[in-house]
Amino acid sequence: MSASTKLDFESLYKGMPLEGLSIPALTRATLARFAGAIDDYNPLHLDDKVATASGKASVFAPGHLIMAYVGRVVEMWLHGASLRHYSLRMSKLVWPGDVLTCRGLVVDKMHENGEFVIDANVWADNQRGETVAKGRFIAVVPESKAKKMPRTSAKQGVVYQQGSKHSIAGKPSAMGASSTRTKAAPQGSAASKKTTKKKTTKKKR
Amino acid sequence: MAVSAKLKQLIGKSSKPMYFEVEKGQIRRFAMAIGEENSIHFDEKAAKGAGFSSLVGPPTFAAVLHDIDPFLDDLGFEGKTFMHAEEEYEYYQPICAGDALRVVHKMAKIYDGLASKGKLIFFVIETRGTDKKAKPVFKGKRLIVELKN
Repeated sequence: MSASTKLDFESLYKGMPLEGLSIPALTRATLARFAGAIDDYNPLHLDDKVATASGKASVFAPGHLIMAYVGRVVEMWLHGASLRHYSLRMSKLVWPGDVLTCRGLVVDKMHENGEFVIDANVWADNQRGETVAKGRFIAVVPESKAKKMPRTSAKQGVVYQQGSKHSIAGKPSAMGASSTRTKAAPQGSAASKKTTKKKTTKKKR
Repeated sequence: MAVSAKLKQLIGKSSKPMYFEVEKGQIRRFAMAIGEENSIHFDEKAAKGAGFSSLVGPPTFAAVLHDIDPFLDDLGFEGKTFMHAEEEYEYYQPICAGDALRVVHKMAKIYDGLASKGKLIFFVIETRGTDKKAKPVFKGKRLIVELKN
């Protein structure tokens, strides 16, 4: 990852768009793999019969998966910074075949208690341009490109770093295709649109 | 459908503590399932090089340690279906392989509200993850809605 994705207080500004991340089209295999990974086999996300019986068109993605996708881009932006808060509200269901793009926008920066804090909106849009989830993160960033995070700030929260790109020898990526980073888009549909309630699902076993 | 007295009694109730030992395989599987490509989630050397004690979980890895179903069953919601509407995390320390975590859920709020399908009851569950020294690791909060079908 280039240094340009690393955020620092000095070069940040309110309204600054953050580099987006496109997630390959959602497949049923992705849903099954995720269910295994979190050990939650809610049939609404795995079994079309159960999903249609509940009035849905088919299986759909659990909110946790959308939160994890947007979390990937949050982590990507915050290499070398300290993640303190991340929240997401689901607004539309995500179906197999949907292609999500995760985006973000800096909404505020503050110098608080000796720390350089940024507040940003995050959201995910589907290929129809609809916002499926919307949220926010708060992080403490280095003061400038030349400076590292003070140790006291780095101790609190989670400071991710960029390692090398992981690939499994001889195996295609788990997603079937690699995710692609997209140009930072200006305030998209999401930022201006009011999202409504309803969400994804968590079914009791 | 207002919040009944019976439901109100559940407000403030906590789950039994659940204990987890975070495994490398869990972190790798989770990272792979979400298409993560950063080697700090797969390669211990890379993770240590980045200052972690071992492989580190992605920002929402706590989802793996976060199963609220046993708690909801204990509260009497066995067999009920919930919509997962909203979730938030506060981060205090990274979650790394080898960590031992204690997780407790609490029914923080129950309220009714209007939705497109009429009145619904909303449940706010707060989760606290702490380390061996009882220091906070993460705090989670989720909003769920009972799904009728």
